[in-house]
Amino acid sequence: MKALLDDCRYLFYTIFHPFDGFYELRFRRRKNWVLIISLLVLYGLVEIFRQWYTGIIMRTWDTYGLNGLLTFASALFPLILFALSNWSVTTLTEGNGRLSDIVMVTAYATVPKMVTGVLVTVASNFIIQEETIILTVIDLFGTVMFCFLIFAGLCVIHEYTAWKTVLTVFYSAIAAMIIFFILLFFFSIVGKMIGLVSVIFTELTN
Amino acid sequence: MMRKAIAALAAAVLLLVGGGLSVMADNTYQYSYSYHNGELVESLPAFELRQVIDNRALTVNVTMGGIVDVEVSDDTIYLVDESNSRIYLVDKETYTISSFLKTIQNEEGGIVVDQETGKQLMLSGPQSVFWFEPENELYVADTGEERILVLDADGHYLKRIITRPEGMIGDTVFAPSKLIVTPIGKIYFTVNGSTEGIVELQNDGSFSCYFGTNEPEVSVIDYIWKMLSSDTIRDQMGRTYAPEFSNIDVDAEGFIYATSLDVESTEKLFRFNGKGANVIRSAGNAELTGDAVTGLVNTTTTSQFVDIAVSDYGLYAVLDKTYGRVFIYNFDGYLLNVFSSRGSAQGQLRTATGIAWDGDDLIVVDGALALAYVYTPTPFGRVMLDAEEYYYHGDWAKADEQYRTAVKLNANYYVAYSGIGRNCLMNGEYEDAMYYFELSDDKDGYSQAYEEYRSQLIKDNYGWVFAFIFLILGAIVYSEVRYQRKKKKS
Repeated sequence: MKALLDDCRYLFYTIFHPFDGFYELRFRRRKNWVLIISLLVLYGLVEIFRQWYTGIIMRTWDTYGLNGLLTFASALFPLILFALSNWSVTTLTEGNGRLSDIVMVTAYATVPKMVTGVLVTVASNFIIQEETIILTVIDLFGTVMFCFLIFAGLCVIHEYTAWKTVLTVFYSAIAAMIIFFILLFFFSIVGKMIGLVSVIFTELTN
Repeated sequence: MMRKAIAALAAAVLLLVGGGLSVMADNTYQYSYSYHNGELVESLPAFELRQVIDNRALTVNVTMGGIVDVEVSDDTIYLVDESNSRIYLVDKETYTISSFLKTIQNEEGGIVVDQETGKQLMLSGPQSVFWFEPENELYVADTGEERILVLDADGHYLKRIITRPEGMIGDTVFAPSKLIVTPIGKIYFTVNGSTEGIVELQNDGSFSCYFGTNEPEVSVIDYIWKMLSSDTIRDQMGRTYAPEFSNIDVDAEGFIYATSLDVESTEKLFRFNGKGANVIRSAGNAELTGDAVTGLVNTTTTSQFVDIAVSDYGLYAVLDKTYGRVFIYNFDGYLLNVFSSRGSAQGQLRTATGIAWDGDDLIVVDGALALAYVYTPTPFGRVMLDAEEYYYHGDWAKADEQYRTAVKLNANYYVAYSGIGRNCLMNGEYEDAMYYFELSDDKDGYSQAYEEYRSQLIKDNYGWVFAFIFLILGAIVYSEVRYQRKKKKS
């Protein structure tokens, strides 16, 4: 418990000093998996919170028919996909980071996005249409921070130059698309197989 | 971790498959509906079929061909048969056709002979008629002979012929397709294949100008290619022309409405101001494109508007050729109702060509089926139309009453919630207004109501708000002072 608190304090240090912070986390400190996983879970929960409680002025979706589990999954899915694709690219391009390091960077980077997300969601209930621009800017700030932290973290853990980081992120995007395509393929084939089995089953039993 | 990832993936795949299914459902939907946040919401039908006017209505021994336009005067419905060059006169009371126009006579009942050719004056492929109420005249766009015939609306004898005026500029041929006359007597018509806009004539037939602009959609890639290529290549690439208009109508105030079914047109519906700029209102939850395009629907499945009919109170009905649907919008651009569909059953359309209001009835004509349908409002449609009429004329209280009835009949009718909200807003009941605007997802309205509500709240709790602000300011100052003091000490 004490270690967790200490790591939480260190988390905030990392957000404001990403290069030093991620360096320490990569090479000196032990990774706290409880913290990392709870950050990811929290990120999913914040997305659910966002969907439910955004004020009508900024809401572009209907609140009825929302599926919390689906929201949770679709919030975490890109992060995990990114971690996997980045790992698969960087192992080929002499990156020193391990998959666990990449997951850690991703989890830590979500913190500013969560903070602005909650802030914007709460504030969106107390605004009029002319004031949406303020919240949009705050939201954008969170996203920019998120991107910057990812960038800084990847730089440090893979021991890359800035340019190489950008390049590998670009390649990761392509890798992510390939992974996604294969998964889609896989699930559609599995779906067809299940369909076939169930058809055979009904044919035999009836 | 892995299991969770798989679960997430499965969820994402389900999401994709689900999206595909709903797109299919949109295309096969057969009932009345409207839109809410881009999703289909079922609705009660606002119109029902009352009468079919087809060959059985004829008392003369002819057969109807391809009907291309419909126009309603005070006692007659005119159906324009282009392929047979006839205009059928339908009695509004009995829906029977007792006569038709083909050869045009003069005031004395004699035949009119063309001086140049020596031929008898006959209609030749007319494409539209317009009843000009102030003078009780009937304007016939006699497209095949490239002229406009002005007839008396009662005796149907020839008053004058308008042909291509002397000073008409541009490449557009004088082949009036869809024609209207504004209350002050100016003549406007569209020409098939024209890229110069709607032709405007003075009442005496002299050329005035081209009217209305329709902007083509220019793709970025085309633009870049054209920028890079040489002049010779550019000439070969072909130009982007302004899309043509498919139909026009005029409202009681003399504003001209137009439709365009050109795929390159950025806008489908137009309401022109005096300068010819599009000032149509689109405050509703869906764009003015008929069927709302959701997700990955192919562009060929979008609505193609072939005709528009404007009522006396800003409400307009547009006819879609693709699915034979009639979309009813109010003045502000809210989609009120959609009805009819494409098919061969009674009440369905195959090649929709024209639509017109007859009081509160709608008359829809079909070219391929050679008939006209008379639709009359259902009880819900009655309430819907009345509410819009009262609202348009500024009778808020009565409109509010109608909107509340409409909600009782059809709880999905989001336009009514918006209407009730607006009424509450004007009466200063801001909290109620917010409630109703939220139901209809009317963000503009909600924003206005909330602004009032919030300033009222701050005014009422002036003391508390200021106390809170001072408290925070005080806390900041205090912590700063303490910090500085500590610094000094150390």
